[in-house]
Amino acid sequence: MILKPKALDCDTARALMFDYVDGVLCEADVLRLEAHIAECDACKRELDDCRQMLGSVKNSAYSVPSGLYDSVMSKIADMPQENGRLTKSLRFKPWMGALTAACAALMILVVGRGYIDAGMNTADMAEAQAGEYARIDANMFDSPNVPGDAEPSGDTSSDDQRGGKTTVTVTTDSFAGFAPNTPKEDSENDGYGVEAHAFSLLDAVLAEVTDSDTAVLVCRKSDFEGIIPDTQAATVTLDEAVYERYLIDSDAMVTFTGYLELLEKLSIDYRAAVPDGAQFDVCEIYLLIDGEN
Amino acid sequence: MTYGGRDAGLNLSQFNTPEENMLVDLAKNGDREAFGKLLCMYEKFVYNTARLKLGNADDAFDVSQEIFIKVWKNINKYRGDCKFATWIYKISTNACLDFLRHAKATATEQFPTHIDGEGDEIEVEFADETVLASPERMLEKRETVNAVREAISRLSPEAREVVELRDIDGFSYEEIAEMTGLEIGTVKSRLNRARAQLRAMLAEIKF
Repeated sequence: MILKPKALDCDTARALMFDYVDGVLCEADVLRLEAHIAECDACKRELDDCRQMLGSVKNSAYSVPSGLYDSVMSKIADMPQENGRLTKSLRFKPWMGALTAACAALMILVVGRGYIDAGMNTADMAEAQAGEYARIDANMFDSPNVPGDAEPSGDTSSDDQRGGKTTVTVTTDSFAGFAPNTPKEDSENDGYGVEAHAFSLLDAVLAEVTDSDTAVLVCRKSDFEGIIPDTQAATVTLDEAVYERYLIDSDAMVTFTGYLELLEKLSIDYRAAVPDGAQFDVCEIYLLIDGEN
Repeated sequence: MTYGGRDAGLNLSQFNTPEENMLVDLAKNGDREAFGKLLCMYEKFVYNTARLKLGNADDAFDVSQEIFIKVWKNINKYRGDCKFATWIYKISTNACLDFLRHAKATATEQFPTHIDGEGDEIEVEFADETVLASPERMLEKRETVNAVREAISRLSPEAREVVELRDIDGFSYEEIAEMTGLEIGTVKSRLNRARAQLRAMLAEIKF
């Protein structure tokens, strides 16, 4: 027995018309609707009206004022880009090798938010507190990022699981095996050489971060001796203007704001280090001054 | 300010292509020429987004400028984890919301809620015409366009958004879902309701 598709009534046919014109109607409904239209003049006129309306809506788009292009281009003529980590000036330079060594010394602690609230009383954080540090606080903002699917690939360790609190530590050993003064131009990491390699490892670390985590970045001031002037390190602050800017730009894929700000100041390409989909409530960054290993 | 001079059109086939990716990378490296090409590709999209959200040509022009300047300054923050069009759309909607918030805080009179009010420009495109239209035909078409714009302006902001993205800009349901953060089913149902409202409004004025 051949099942004949159920015929449409006019109301049902009209409910399907926009989807039909849109081309998103399933094949079975297309056949039923077309069969109905072939026999129903009223619905055929209705379908023509739908087509005409959508065509008119499309044609209702506004033309662009002629001055917009020229106005924008003249305004940006001398305007620098922010966070220009990928500008040509940041192509590998000799000092970047040293900076890479500094990168290699970064110790990232990713801990649960409750853990931070509890007072950071692990050995690592005690070490951080023992040193004199400049503290940079940054409220974190929601991001529209969709969760990424990048798999951690670096030498990382999730070495602490306590009541939902996770500590991930990267030590210098994680960065062993590559020479800091060997640029890898045109590598898969944007051609930025070893620092890109370093940050691919950081990326792997930060991939461990989940939405509810708070991240703490600890880096030793001594690692930056002779590379980053003291004054520059000291000026890593997030003032109200920056705060507001990031608030506005939260849709500009910025999540790990304070961390990004620090990396910007240190002229490090932060992009690879930001975990996709991570949304933080609070980020606290501690830059150790005269801290000991 | 003059209108109607530039009309690069919204050609979705230019979006999310290797060429676009290349232009974005070049712009990230400070290449203003590449940015100019991106500007040409997106100016109609951005301007119409601002135009429909703000309801005023001058404001839309100013905010569109701000949007592109913001795109230029922040393009290094675009990490490619969503489509570039989505990124620009989010910047655009934020800029419009900021503008409306500021206007609401400072204005003593209600912000206009309809489009093409007194003193506003009337711009009609004849992209589908290959020959010069007669004055009567032009007038008829202009009236039609104005009627449709008026009807669209009466939709709720949420309904207007999906109509703009789907029926004016031509984005797919999936793309609209990414841009707006809505579920695809919500996009579809919202669009169906908006179209039904549009039909009813246009029927009232014997469209």
